[in-house]
Amino acid sequence: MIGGIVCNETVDSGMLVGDGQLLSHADREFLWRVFVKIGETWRNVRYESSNLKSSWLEMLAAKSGVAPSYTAEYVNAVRVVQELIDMYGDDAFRKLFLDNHIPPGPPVTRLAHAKKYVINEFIIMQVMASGFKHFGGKNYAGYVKGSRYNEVPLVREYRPITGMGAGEK
Amino acid sequence: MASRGKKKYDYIIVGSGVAGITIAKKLLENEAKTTILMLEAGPFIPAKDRRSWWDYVTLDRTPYDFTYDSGDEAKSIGKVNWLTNGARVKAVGGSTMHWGAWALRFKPEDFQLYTNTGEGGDWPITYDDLEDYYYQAEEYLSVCGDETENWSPRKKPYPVPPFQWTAADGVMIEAFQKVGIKPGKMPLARYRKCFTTGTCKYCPFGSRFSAVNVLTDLLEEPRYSGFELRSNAPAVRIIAQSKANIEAVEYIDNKSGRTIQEHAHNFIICSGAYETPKLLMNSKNQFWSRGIGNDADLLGRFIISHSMLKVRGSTPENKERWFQEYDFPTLMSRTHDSPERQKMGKIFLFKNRVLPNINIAKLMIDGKTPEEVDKIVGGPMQLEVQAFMEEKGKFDNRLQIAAGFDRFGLPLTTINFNRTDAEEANARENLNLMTEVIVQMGYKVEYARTEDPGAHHTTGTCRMAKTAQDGVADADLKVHETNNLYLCSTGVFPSGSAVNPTLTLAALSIRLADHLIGNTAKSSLHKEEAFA
Repeated sequence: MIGGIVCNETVDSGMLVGDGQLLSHADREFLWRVFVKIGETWRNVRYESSNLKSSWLEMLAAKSGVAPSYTAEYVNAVRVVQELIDMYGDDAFRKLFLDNHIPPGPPVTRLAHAKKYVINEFIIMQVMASGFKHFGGKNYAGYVKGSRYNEVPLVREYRPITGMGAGEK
Repeated sequence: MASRGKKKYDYIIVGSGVAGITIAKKLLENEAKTTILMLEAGPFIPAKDRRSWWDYVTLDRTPYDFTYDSGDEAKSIGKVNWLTNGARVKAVGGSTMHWGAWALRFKPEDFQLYTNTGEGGDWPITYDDLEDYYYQAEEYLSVCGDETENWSPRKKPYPVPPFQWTAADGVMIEAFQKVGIKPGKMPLARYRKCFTTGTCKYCPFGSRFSAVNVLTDLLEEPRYSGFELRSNAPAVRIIAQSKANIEAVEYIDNKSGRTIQEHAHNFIICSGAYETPKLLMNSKNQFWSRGIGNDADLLGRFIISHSMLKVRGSTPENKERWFQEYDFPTLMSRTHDSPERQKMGKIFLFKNRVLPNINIAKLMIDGKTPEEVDKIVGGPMQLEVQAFMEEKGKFDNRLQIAAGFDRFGLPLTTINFNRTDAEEANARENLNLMTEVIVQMGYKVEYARTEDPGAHHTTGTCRMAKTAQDGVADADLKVHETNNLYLCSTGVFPSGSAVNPTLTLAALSIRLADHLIGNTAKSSLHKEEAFA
């Protein structure tokens, strides 16, 4: 497994308790940079993810402000990622996202906690919030885009006149 | 010892799903001072809750998951396994908390199943009796449908235009046409403003009807001060004053542990096809030795649901990078939901609601590089044609009460469900027809199978009929031989047809409310009568 003392420290596999804690501005901005790195790694977003920030902040507020709070998991992820940056520099995020060697099963290290409770959920949110578009499609489960009576169809529709199964791209 | 409530309501409604809430809304709109007590065994699940929404998105977890039956709470004891998990929401809002919002009318022949086939039951009303109520229900639920469709006779077009077929539907549409199946657009109750509540399991957008939204409006309306909801309040017994007259409902207040009796002029049991017959069975007394409405031993019998037929096909490439961009089906057909197919069991065809599907986020979580994700998205693809197959009620297929109680204080359930050899053969024949669709698509057939039936679309357990010998409730949904006890759930359906039951239940609910309003005009309700 990658990382050093912090990443590999053993912790309980259950969610780290953080009810009542507040997430500091500095930690929130650090986590935002982690989120931006997801888009950079998979090259599936535009505007360096800046158009997703309000939605991302709203998720963080909902996840950290209501029990069970994610605050302790978010703080843990900051420590883990900081150690990876200190150890691997520019290669830290490639290792974290693509080559982390975390064993399967319940998360029993700080690194595994950061991956399960923070990185994985950030990825799901990023794909849902528009990251899916890079891979095709206009809509995706969880993606909310106002009224379906927009002038532009919200999905690729069946167009029989243009041939079998042809759809707008 | 039960404590006694302090007043006598105009109505007590047991159950807060689409039936109970629709009836309450109609009664209150007719006369704002109507006093109604609504009892719900389950909890109130907060809606418009952002944390619930984000947990749904990131964890695929809904806030009502814990209300589903576990296997030991509703046990299958027949030869055919009866599915339990994920089928019944026990919470305020009932099934509309998790339904897919498919909103289809039954067809005229569905109301005469026994006459046409010698199996199942006949309804004591006809399609024509319900046609206007179907339209009212479609307006109420904001059903989006194709105005050119003619699957069921209709005097007015759908109130809202349909969702269009998706590009991924195209290959199946053309295969349908090659084998003589007429493709149609799925009627869906999905027009409401999206509240992103975390309860819309199937809803990327095109927010579906939820009874909770209607209920919230009723509770917040100052004119309806006589309307009261009690959640966590399982009804355990109906108390009769005489054979014909019901006087009270006894329930447990799960918050305090107290048993309470509440009195009313009229009682409407809307607690679904499981709990409605169970409540009646549990209400034995000197007038009804087998339970109220059960002199003919029909409660819980004739249980049916839909068995789902599935044929899956695959193709090695997904050049167009299709995935089912809505999380509900837009393509369906009722070509084989016809009078000619009634004897062998009608089927309602539709395309699987989630295929083709690539879980892009999971690939990224698993550490796939951008290039690997790209390759997988354009790689092998699966599509599936599915169908609900109509089942026919049998006397020995039944739901019964088991010893013990579930987490909500409701009695445990057993389901005995069996099929005949002829029905199994009919299912195989229907699968052959569906397999031909996959073959015409040029896809490799992966499997063709019949899934077990389950509690999702349960009907028949307290069916309506012209006489007490044939059914529990009459054409007005009043329990035979009673004056003031009504049933309104899918349990009253004598046949289940091949399509989803909710629109028909909503239509029956509006019809019952009209009936009650007609009765009210002749009665002494709304006099703020104190309980003596």
